Amino acid sequence: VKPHERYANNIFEFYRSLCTNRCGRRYVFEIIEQGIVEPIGASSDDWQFSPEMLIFTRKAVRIHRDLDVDWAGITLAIALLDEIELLREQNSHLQQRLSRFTDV
Amino acid sequence: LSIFAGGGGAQAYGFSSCQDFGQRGQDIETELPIFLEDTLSLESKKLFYHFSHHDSAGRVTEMHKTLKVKILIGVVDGERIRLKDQGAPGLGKGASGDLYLRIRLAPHPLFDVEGYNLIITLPAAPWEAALGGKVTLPTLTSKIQLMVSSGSQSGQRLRVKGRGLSGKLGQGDLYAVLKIVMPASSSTSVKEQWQKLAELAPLRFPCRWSEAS
Repeated sequence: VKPHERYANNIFEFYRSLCTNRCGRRYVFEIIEQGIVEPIGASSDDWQFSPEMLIFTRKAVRIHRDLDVDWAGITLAIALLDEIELLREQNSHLQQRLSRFTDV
Repeated sequence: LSIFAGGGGAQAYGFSSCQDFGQRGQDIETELPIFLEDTLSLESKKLFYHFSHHDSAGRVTEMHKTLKVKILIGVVDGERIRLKDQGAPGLGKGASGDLYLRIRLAPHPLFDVEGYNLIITLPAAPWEAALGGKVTLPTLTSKIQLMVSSGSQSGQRLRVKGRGLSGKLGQGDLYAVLKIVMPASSSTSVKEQWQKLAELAPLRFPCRWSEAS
């Protein structure tokens, strides 16, 4: 899904929003290089980052820095956490629909 | 509409260890609960949010802000939208941070959401399901007459095209899920009628234990 232009960050805003200094810039480079975050756009000048990508990167950098986990482990951990959140929400919605059907 | 994340306020994010860019204001992330009806409306939503701001002298002040937010058509539950420069103010000449809103669709008393489709449970009497007929069905904005076919089953989904939420690629549909409801009590004469019906229209369930063996 292409990020909505109104909501998307360009690369400058993405860097800035992550408060890039030397270490921050390196983290962002590694994350993009390894395909953990895939910005939309052919060249780096055109890259667009959705708000979800920014939140993901912020979370990933924090885990990497605080817990010293490698990027592969971080990707897996965040994917699993997101999956749990999604399943919980789906479960809650299905419970709601079921109760509408079964409650008299 | 009041937006306060659990425990009292929006969350501010930044990298305090990043000294070089410490002047830019922090981004703020908070939730924006909206009603299903709001997704069809072109009107702006008023948003109140607050956060703690650390100034250059290290003082912490509680800031309160109000914004008018235009919800674009096609938003979904959980989607994040970015409002540029609406986060915490920067230090000195630093730019403000951004505001990230996470859309939350508030539960509706009648409708459930599945993508851009809406689902409503439609109670029906056994004879309505057996004989068919028109029933009145609420939609998100009005009411419609819906034709129930004769011989409809409980749990069957009846599709009403284009009466769901507005999606990015078109309008979702409304699905009415039939829920057959028995009368609360039956007099002797009604029971006799049911008994006659049972003899006239016997029903076998192959999956039932007593009849499978």
